[in-house]
Amino acid sequence: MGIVTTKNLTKVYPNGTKALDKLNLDLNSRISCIIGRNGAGKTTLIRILSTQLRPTSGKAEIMGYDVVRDREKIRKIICSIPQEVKPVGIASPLEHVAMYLTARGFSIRDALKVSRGVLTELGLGHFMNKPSDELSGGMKRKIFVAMAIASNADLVFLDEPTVGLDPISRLEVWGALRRLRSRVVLTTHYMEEAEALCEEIAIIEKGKVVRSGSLEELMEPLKGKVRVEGYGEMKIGSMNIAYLSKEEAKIILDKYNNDRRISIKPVSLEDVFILSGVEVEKD
Amino acid sequence: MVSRLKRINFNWKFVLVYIWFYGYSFIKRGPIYVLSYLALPLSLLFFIYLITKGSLIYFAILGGMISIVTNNALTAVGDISFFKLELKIQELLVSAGVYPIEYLFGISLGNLLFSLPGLLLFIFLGFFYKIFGISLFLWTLLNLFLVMISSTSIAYLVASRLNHVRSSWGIGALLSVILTMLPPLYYPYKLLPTAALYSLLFSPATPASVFLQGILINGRANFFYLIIVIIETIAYPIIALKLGRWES
Repeated sequence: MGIVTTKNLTKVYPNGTKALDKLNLDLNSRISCIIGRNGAGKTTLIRILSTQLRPTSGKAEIMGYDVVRDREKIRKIICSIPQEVKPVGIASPLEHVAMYLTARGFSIRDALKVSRGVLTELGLGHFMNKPSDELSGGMKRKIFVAMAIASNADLVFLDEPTVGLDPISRLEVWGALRRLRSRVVLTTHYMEEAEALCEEIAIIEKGKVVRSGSLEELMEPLKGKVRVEGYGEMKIGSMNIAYLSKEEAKIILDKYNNDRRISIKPVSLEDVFILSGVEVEKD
Repeated sequence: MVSRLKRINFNWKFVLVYIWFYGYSFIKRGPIYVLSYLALPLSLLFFIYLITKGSLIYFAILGGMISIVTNNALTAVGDISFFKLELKIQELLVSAGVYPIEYLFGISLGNLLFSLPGLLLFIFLGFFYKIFGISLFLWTLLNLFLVMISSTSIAYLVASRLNHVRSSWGIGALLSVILTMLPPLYYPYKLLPTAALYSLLFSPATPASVFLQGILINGRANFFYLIIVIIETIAYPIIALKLGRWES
């Protein structure tokens, strides 16, 4: 039984947009990550998995529970933080987190105690009683990360949890997520976030999973290669990119007499992501 | 519906905290809102006092109380749709296992708490002008509670069906006029032709006001109108929960 399993999961919105197209996914790690371009279907997938949205066809299961049939059981074991969630300006971070925890069944006393602890851990200790509209964008985002951390849910869905956070806040959130006992499925645009946090990564393009596996598995095709920018036939925007062995790259660099428009970089998850996107575009 | 309600282990802790979240925090940090909702009933009270040389002040006080509660409930159209469509708070609560009836209760009672400062002022005026005997006072409190639940249910139903926040504020204001200005809150219900009175009974404010005015004018209660308030207090939440959109 996987943590998240989908089979031929399809979602077509009433306006005809096909957000998910027979998507097959099997996530089993403590922290898994779904990455993809804007409009790839990440948020639709998370909303279906967190029982917000019903699929048009196909099947999805969370820890063996069907997202349509068993949605009330699923809601007891998950915590889902939507991508665009924002705090109510007039209410404080403490009020938000405590309200959420009582919604999940905490006693009022425990909800307040746990909320104070987690908000302090995330650096919001001095701001927990201020109205949320007096907080910075990053602090507002942290309120919802605090909910996820405090929720004690078996499985936490986080849709782009660190968007808009400064580098230090992002590191604080990463640290808190690593310390979480819950399993986590998150979506992100930040490749370094997926690399730093996730044991399993699924890349989604046009509503389908195009690649999935551990970071090492995903990087395998690029093993021993470097990214050469400013050279090659693969065009991303106005930039040409090629993936070559170090030796080939050195020959190119020598040939073009160290032309500053050509640069060499080590490969990363970003390159796997770029290659996936290019392959889908070709199809 | 009943079997569904039986399955729900009603989460009162959430409802209590939501009242604090939605009602108390607005009073504490946004007293201007409390004043803004008081502005209309107080202005009408002033004009009615001037124009009728005080003779209809009783109606303005009693009607003002119902108006405060109904208007506060109906402004929830804007809040509910804003929380759902813009802030995504409803989405957060759905996946946390909150049931719509708990949310509805949280909002209703939060609104009631939010209405308290205004109600206390009108209750003070009511006692000052010697409107309230103990019986009328208790009937008034009961009716305000019932009207709050039924009106919030209307607000929830409307708000949950909206696809754009931009329409919500206008619809809330329009509903407020239809459900509180047309019904006989600020004037004696006997001025209304019978057909008009019956056609306005769909607004919970109408039967509540007619019932209370009956006690005020005649000294005895016409329970037909109280039964209508009770029926609406049961029916509107059921309709709202049945037809309202909780999940996406």
